[in-house]
Amino acid sequence: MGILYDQTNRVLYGSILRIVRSRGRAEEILQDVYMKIWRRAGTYRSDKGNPITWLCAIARNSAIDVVRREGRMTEIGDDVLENFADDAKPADDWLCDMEDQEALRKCIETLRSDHRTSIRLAYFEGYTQSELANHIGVPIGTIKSWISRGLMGLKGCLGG
Amino acid sequence: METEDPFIQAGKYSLRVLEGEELVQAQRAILTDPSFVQAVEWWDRRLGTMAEEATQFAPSSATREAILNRIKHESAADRRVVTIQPKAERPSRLSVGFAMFGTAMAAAALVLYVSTPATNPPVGPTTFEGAQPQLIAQLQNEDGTSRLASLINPTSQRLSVRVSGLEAGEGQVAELWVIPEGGVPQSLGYIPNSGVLERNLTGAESELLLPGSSLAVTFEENTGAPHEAPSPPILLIGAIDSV
Repeated sequence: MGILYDQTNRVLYGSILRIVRSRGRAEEILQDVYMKIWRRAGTYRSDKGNPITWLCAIARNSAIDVVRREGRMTEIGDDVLENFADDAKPADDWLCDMEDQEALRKCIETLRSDHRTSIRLAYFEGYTQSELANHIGVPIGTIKSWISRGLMGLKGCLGG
Repeated sequence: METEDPFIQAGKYSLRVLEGEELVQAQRAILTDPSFVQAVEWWDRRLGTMAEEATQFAPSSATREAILNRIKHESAADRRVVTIQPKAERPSRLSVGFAMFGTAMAAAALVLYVSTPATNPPVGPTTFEGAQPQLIAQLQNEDGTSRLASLINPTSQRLSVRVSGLEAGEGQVAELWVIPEGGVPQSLGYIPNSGVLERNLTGAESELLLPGSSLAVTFEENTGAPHEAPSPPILLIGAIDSV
């Protein structure tokens, strides 16, 4: 598990921190995430995605569970996140399924800006539709429409 | 949900942007519509690759030691090896890294040493110990003739279920399911038609039984739990709340 931790902790911690916005809380969640990974290792199915996608899903879902249960913290703003990003180690190709990631990246780039922003904010910040509407400052109906259209664009582009 | 393309709604469920009635309807679809489950899994796989471009941050050095200590305390002597097969056509460096655990598995296999949970309680950060509330879920059908009340103690990892009014037919049995928010149903095993069931929860089950998850009951063929997916109709469904 030590090797697994060394190879994956930065990307999992980054996913969690972006959602919970507290270093201390994010580290507590990170501990729980690795315990879940350790307990659930036998449930991983390769046909559902590559390993890092599975690990990141556990981290993201755990962080979202916490903010929806306990509320979102505001200790760390976007500017601070940018300042202490681990610039020594960008996302490595060895960690990813580059084909799938590149396909999604290209498809997201084809989306309209507001559709793309809505989906990326929902994914990386863990916002619900109403939280997104509040964050961006548009009616919730608009957000629902943007996400629907964005997902329809991705579906068509990715061949769903 | 009525006018939205179910495939797109599945994407929103995977993205975890749904809330309120839309979330409830999606959770019902997860239980009753295999095509919806397939659509959610399709989106999970595609959208999940976005995580790989997340900005990386380094946690404090104490975190690694804390995790390894928790695992050490939760480990039992009877270690076993669980293999995780990555995409066969293109093993990643991550998989090779996992294989460095020293097994004789093929280089493409991810190998994690996993121990069964120990009888001793897990040792974690003191901030978590004893701080968790009790969880409850109260389910009943429309006319109130079938009911289920459950109490979950996350600290002691104990599940108590009181059931009344279920009438499974010949060759059928009532099965309890948990649907994690944004996830697919997981069986919690058989429950009686009436009466009380109390049992310990596994670590994996405890992690699914959270506020925001839902419990549901279906009748399944009595061929041995757990079944892979519930069979419609859903008899009872309700959310888990903390008290």
